[in-house]
Amino acid sequence: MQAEAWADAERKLALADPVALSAIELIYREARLLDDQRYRDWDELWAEGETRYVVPMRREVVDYDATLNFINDDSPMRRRRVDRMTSGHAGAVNAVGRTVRTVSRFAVDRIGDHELRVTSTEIVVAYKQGDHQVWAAELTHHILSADDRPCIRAKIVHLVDAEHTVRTCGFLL
Amino acid sequence: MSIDVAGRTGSDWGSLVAADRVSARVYLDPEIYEAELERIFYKTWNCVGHESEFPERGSFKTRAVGRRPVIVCRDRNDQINVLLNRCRHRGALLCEKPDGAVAGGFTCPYHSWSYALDGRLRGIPYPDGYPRDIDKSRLGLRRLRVETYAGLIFATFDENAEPLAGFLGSARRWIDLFMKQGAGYPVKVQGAFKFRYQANWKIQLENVTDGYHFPLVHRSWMANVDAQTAEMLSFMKDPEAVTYGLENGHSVGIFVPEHVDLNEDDGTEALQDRFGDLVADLQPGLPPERLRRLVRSLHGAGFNLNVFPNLALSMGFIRLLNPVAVDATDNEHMVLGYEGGPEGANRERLRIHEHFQGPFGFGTPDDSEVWARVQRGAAADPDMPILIDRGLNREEMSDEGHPRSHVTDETGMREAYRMWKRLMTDAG
Repeated sequence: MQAEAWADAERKLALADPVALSAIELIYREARLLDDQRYRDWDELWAEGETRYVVPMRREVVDYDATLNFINDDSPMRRRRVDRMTSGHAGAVNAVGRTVRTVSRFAVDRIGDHELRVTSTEIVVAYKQGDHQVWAAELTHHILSADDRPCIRAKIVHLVDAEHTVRTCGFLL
Repeated sequence: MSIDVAGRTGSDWGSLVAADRVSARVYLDPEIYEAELERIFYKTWNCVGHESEFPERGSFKTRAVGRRPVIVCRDRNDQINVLLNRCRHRGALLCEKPDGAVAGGFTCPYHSWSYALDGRLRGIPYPDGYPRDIDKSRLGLRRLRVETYAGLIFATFDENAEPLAGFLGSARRWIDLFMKQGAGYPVKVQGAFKFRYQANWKIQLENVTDGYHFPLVHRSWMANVDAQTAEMLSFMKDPEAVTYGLENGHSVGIFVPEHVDLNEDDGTEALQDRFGDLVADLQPGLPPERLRRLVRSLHGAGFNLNVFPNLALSMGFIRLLNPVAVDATDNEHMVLGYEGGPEGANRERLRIHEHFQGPFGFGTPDDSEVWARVQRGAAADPDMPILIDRGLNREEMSDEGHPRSHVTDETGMREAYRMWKRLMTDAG
């Protein structure tokens, strides 16, 4: 356990590190695109090839395919989700008023030559029909930084209330 | 026929329901909601789970019947108990975890009164403050009456409720058909979505056999699935896609007629291409008939069964509803799988469930949106009736004496409101 902690410390990047900054900048850009419901542009932030976008129902789960998840999208499924969100025929999406989100508490680890793991918190306030909802989650992004353009390889959204009763949702976290 | 709702209270609630319409007040009036808890949810059988959710002695889940929290658990004698989640001493909620497993039972967080899994009071700390001969047998947790059918666990607060089998009536035949989706394996619950929406519980109940809304509200899902799945659920003009009003408020809507009895297979149905990888994986190990049987069951049964008031068996999942307020309802959508069956088949069912169901699915959020819209819109004029007359012009009586019409018709809703009226107006 202690050895692992030391290893983690060695991998941790200072937030001022240009590589860390570029990853954080990407996550801020993502937050803006999601608030603006620019889902096609959001899709462009993702890496080519194998990716994963997951909103699990239990924190301890590691094999998402073996369990039920709120969202468990590989690349084709994520594109189908974007198709739905932009189709104009999804009542819940059309009814979304506005969301504003804050992403913060960043920690950046290097987990490969060209891959970073960024953990953060996300608070979304969603307004619709006189009603403000708060959504809170811890995020883990896996960011590929091989080219000059960083991109998302994986995103895991741990809702604080994932094991309890949640509202239905017409936007993305 | 007009509905007179002015100044109605108590036993006049029956006048809010006619054969072809109901007053919007049944969605809106908090007094009616309170009466529904007493006269419906605390009087009839409510489904509180499936036996597979409690695999071991000590397995438990916390749920609710109406507004009353309960613990559903398996005891040391393998019996399923449904216990009011409330300490007998000073009333604290005993257990707040959604699920888990305990060795011996439940201990109150306040003064540590401890209860066995069957609700018996086991221990009181510092008992000197009570008479030496205190009768612990009178201080156990309140136990609901429990009966099961086909693995479904039902509970009621009413000791005088009729036996479950009679209450279910001919819904039993449909439950039996539903469970055939196990394809030779015992059916098990693989997980559940739990979500809340801002609408009266009856708006959701009505929706279970409402084929009319499906291609309209779920247009984005229909456009999103493969052509064979979309074709499977294209029932709008299929004369074999019918709905039956059963009895006691139960009803069934058939969406995929060829999947009503999954044991029947004339061999003409092509297995869907989307399951090609799974078929290739399983082919070496399974005889062709068993493989066909399994793959044809992946979408579940070809119908939705409404069991009044809180259970629906919907194609591949079990739905429990719980009315938490006049304008708020909690749903659980429990996805089914094959106990001891091929892992790949279970995973296919998880993905099918994720695709449509749940707070982030491609179907459920759109459903909840229109239900909430009904709740808000109906308030525009509480006395203006909600119409449930679709299909009355073509409804027939089946040989079994059940009203039958097309699955896009409102036969099921009419049956539910017949039962609602009976329960809301009977003295008991």
